[in-house]
Amino acid sequence: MFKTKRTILCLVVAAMMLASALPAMAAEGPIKYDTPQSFTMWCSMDKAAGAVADWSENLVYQTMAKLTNVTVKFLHPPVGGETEAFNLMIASGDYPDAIQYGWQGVPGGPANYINDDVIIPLNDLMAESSPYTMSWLNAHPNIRRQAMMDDGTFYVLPAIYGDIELATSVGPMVREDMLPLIGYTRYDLPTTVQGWEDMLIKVRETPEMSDIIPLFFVGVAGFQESPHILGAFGITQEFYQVDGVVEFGAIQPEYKEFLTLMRKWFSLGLLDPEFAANTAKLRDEKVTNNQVFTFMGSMGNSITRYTAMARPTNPAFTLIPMKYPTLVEGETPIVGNQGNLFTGSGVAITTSAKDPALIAKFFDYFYSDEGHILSNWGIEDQTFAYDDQGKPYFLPLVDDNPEGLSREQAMAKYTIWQSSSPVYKMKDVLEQRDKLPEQIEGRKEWMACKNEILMPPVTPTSDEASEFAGIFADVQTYYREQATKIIMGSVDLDAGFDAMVATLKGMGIDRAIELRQAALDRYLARP
Amino acid sequence: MIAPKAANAINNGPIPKPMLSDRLKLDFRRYKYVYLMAIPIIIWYIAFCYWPLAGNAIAFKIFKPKAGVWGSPWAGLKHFREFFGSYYFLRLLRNTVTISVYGIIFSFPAPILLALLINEVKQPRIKRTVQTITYLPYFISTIVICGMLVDFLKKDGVITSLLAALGMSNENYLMRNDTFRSIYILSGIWQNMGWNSIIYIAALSSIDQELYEAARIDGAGRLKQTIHVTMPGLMPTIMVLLIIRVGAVLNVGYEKIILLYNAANAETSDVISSFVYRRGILEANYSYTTAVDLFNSAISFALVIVTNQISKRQTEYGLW
Repeated sequence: MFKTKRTILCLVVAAMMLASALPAMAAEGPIKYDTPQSFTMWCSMDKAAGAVADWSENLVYQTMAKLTNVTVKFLHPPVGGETEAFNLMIASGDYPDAIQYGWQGVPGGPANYINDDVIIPLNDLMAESSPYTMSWLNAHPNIRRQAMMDDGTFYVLPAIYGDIELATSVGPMVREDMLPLIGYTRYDLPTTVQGWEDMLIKVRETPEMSDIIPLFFVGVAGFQESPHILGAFGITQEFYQVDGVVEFGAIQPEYKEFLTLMRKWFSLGLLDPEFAANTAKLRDEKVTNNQVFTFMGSMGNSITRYTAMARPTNPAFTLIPMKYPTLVEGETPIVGNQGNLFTGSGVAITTSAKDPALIAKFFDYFYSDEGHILSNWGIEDQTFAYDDQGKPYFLPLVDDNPEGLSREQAMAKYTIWQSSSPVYKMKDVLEQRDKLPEQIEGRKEWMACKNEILMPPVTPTSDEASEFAGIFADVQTYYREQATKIIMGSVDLDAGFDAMVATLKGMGIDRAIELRQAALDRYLARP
Repeated sequence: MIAPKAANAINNGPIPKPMLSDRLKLDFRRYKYVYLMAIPIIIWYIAFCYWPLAGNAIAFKIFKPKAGVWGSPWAGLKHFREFFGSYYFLRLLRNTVTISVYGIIFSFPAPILLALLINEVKQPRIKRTVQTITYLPYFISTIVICGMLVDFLKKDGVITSLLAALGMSNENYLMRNDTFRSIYILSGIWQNMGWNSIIYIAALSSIDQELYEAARIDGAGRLKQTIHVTMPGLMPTIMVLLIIRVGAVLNVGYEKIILLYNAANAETSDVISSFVYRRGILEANYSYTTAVDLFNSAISFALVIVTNQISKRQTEYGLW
């Protein structure tokens, strides 16, 4: 009796495995519709701003229209006003068929939007219409786990990094051409916090550099995208976890040590005196105006773009990445900048979509072998070619665009590798985009951090999310203001920090930590 | 107004008052084209001013976009309680009221003074030039004004350098708690003084010139004329504008604040409207921020009524 049951079970399992393997073997090429089909999609312009007026000019989507007979009608929010536009669209109750966005970080969390009937859960749909995506996700369980909610619900057709190197984009960098002024070369760059202090003091004491900002950062909030010096103290500014226990950075004694150091640096004139008023725009301005010695920058945006902007007036302008500092010489930096393999972005299908299967099938092609090449590289012999070893590389149309587009812009016009579209992003493309020796070297240095304390991409339940949002909005505004005051010396260090901890506790930071802990526990228990 | 009518009624005996519906019918028939012309405006008011008022209901609900304003579940006074208990409640209220009261004390009289000064200029060309120059900044968009302020007030900015030359400290003035209000008010005066003075200049031109002549014959100098002839002539305009201004006491525009706001000046710069923008539009807490804004409007409404009463009692001028 038992034996027959088990045999049947085995057969069923075997059949299921076979069935799941089947789609991968299905005929290549996307599904072509006999009659022209279309769906509407809301998505931000991303890096294509300035290169195309509308994403329908993008080569990949044009090719897809030819291959599948499906046209995507794009709705773009104004560049720079994406968050407002997204929230207003959601509040209006009037949705396009699909919304491409950073769904993981939406206010209230993605669960809320499924409960409120804004977007639909995709599990059944993907099981039926997204064979390539599903077999890819099933083959990569660690990424699959990130791309779903605790109960296993998929909320987006995911955009995924093919390598963790792609999720590391920000880090400390320095003006190499200014180093000789303080008697340094790129080989003398410090790796400890003390070494940083010595270097910044040298800058301050060099008369020729009197109007140069030794260390620039975009306010206290700037330590959020990457902890920089703060990371050396072993914490991040907001939530992190040590062996599965969630902590909040700004109430830790390490944060006080960090603020003490920053306060000292501020009084010594090592920090930008206007740090609290800084914005990303001011960073562009100050760095390219030769006013900044070192700052946190991104590999593509800062090195490529700033260099292009500054070279015409200052041919010597050279930025090189630096290592994340540690407190003790020779240790591995505890935490740097690192995202997750699941980008948090992708395409969600709304409850207004007339034919959800059409959308799922359309994007599924990007996870097939051919679609993977199309989305990452474009079209062979037009945008890319293969070298002797069979490795793809970009042709001049992308690499050195004849119309004067930057490489990033050209990539945004001819590929969708940089976008939030449901694409599995190849590392080879990054190596083609940021290929200066210092960029390749810098990525290695920025990756050489332990990063064990970073939070995985947890998803709160919708009740948790609304309670958390109520507490955390106050918490975030407050700690950033108070930390700013402490650094600037406008409040007493000890009293100011104690007041900060007390006030944050009064605002309910412990409850916020509990809520994050619950979400983390559920994440760790995911299949 | 009522007294003569009542007297009439007594003199001619009671006239049967026509029914309201009859009067309306007569009125409609007589003025049908006027009513026809009014229809679009009435529709506009209902669609854009009164109907949206009903949306305030979400202040007492937990707004869910797909369910809409009416389908969302009720939450009672939860959001109000949350705001009154919030760490930022007092700070927001204090900043909003202070900025606004400073606005009334300093920004409100500025265009009146300018109008009086322009009125005294007898050279028409100079008069026109001054007027044009002073109202020009009004046409610069707020975002540009704020961009200029950020630029001029930074460490090596034009205004900062000027102040430093006068012996004040050389630092970014937007990073101080104690300078934000002055920056906000002064730049507001600079931008709006000229434009706002136009209405006063118009009111000045309608003052009877004979009154000035009479005052001169009585031996009044320029100053006396201003105090005893010009000011009383301007009073109705001033009072109406003041009542309107007081009604907006809690409506500090968010645009300028969010453009000048940073962590170092938030202590004095964060106001109710910028808070509503951050929490509502950026963090999508619609119900909570509607409650905050409704509270704001309720206070403004009360203030208008109170000011109107005071004004009527003291100066006999009022909105109604």
